[in-house]
Amino acid sequence: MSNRWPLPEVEALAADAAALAAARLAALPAKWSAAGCDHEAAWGLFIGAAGEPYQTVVEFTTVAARCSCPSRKYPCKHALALLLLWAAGHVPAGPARLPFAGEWLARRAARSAAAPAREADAEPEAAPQVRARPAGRPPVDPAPPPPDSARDQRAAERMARMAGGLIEFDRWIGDCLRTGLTTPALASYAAWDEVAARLVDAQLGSLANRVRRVGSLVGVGRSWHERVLAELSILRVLAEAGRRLATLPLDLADSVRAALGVTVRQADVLDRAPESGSWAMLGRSDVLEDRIVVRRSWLRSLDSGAWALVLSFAAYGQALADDPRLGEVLVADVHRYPGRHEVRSLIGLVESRSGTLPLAPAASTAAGLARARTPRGAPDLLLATTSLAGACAEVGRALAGVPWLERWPVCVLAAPTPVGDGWALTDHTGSLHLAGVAAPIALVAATQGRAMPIVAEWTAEGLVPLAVAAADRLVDIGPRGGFHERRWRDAP
Amino acid sequence: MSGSGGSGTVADHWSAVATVALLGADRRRLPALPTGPVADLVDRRDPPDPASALADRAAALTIARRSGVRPGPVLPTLITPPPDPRPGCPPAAIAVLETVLDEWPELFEEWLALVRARGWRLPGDVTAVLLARFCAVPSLRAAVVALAGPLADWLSELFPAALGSSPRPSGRPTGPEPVPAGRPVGIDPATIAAGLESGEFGVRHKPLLQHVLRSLAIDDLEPLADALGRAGTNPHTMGLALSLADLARTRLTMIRELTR
Repeated sequence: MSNRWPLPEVEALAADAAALAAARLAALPAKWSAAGCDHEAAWGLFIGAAGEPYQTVVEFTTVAARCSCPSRKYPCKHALALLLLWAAGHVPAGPARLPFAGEWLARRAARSAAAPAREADAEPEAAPQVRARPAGRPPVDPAPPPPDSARDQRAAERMARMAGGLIEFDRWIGDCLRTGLTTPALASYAAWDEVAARLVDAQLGSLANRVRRVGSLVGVGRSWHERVLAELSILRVLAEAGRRLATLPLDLADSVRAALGVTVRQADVLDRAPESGSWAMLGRSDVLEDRIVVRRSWLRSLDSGAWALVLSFAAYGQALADDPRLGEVLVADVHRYPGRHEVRSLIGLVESRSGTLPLAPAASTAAGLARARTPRGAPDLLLATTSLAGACAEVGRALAGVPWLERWPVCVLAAPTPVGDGWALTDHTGSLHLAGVAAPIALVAATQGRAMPIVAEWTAEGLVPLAVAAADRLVDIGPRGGFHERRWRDAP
Repeated sequence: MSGSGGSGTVADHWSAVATVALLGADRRRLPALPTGPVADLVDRRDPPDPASALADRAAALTIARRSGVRPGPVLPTLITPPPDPRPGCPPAAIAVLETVLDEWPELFEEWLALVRARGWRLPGDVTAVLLARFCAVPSLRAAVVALAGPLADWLSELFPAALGSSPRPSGRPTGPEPVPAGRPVGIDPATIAAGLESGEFGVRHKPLLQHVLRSLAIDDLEPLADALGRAGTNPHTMGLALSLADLARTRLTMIRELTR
């Protein structure tokens, strides 16, 4: 192979020294079976300690990799190891592509062939693949795409519109704080709606939606000014970050773009390295946002405990996707959107639907696993839970990285209890308030006041319970805002 | 959220800053910044205008408060309802209930009777849903209370507005009697499909036909459902026939799931 990359360029792909060291340990010909390469890609089966060999394939042109291992690192050590072997000349050229490699490469080729059609609406800088590339460019780099001056100009215009919108928004917040939040101009929702409309014009849709939500807080409840101030100050941080995108770390810049409203093409998300394994659907909420019902489905990896959020939308009269169902376990590829602590994801290939959550063995004492406490010896759902203090730490870590986060999933072992004029969850580490003042009847009924595994979203307004693991099933208690079909659990 | 960082300094300072925001940075001065991590976050070489300074301070405090969230005090828990030794209603029976309430609420009383016959315990969430749904239908509510046991009273006492009050039933519960599967009725199931096809039965007979289907013996349900599903040539009764076929199948599934 004359176009093999020099070893240092492969080594530069490693995320850090530890990743490179791990890859070197895996880059032994004896650990690989059926390895091969052609001008486009290298592939092979890594024989590790796990029962099944991992299927690894690396494509050279865009340095994209696919591996069936559960690692969340990208590239994983197997992909890196395969490249190291290839660069060292240990991967034979010639053998036919292994089926998984052939299929994956064909899918990618089909996608990139379809890409130009989508290009028109896309945000050029939102393509994650380009930035995922290392500094050391591979020698097999294709010819640069022909310059598209019209597209470049559209992108530049959009950036200018966004920057203008952000400057104007910053000035508006300054005016609000100068004159005070009690100023009559802020009391009418129309004023907020107008600000939001200008943000939409500047193609900052997500920021606009959030401004509308802040507007709906004005005058509501005793300490509304604290909640409005907190949100406005965080949105100002976000707007300022939006004006400094070029200076931010790449993952944070992606988070800022997403929070402002720059969309990422689904095809680009599906091109990102998947987290493959068993994913359980643990909770969901339906919330009406700007005439659309947004369904948030929270999946959790049974392997790593990582969370993934899948969004679906329904306009008036449309049914929301009920797939996967609550409590269902999928063996699937989950592709994360780019961004720091990003949970939003797409489900890619679904290998199998293994049914429902596993039940705890009768005498499970595995550390970190809590069992639902049932009156009788019924089998219990096996969910990894944490204490309320542990949940606070998880939320804190996420917020420290991305301060404008609006929600974060937690799974706690706690009991609901009334406090003041609202409700809270409590355990031996303390208590956390629930959002809203409505009586959490479903939560109290499902737990019967006992400590049980509860899936909830953290929000600045308090916890929003989504599901309770009761004995042998996951009980859906998530919000059902919106106008979709009434279901049997909805109050008449 | 509860708690905001232990010492209380951040919370006090936040409160003071929020008051400045309420009245306006033009009219109020920001309080002096307490030393600590928040001070590091807002340290700026060039002092900005009052509104920007206020926004910076508020952002730093909000980030500190949110990312530093800690649980509030441990709270006393509710007195839980007395344990119920009956085996729980299996998930399949609850799935059937979901279909019944969504599509054929006429079958609900029979569902209750079948669950009672099995000696199953109603799960808490299902009890709450049923109490809320039937709080204005005293006979059904009483039947739910009778089946749910002390849990129903416990829930009603916690949420009287939504779940209704729970007068002690005097003597025996007023709920429906268990419906014996296969109570004889005066209409031969074989004539139903034929009558719909010929036009002898029409939409005006819908309540009667539904009643017949709710009382038919289980052995008659499947052949009837099949016959109704095939009765598709008379355009005036086709919809009714298909809907009755669905009722028959739903009831058949319900009885099978709850008696196996």
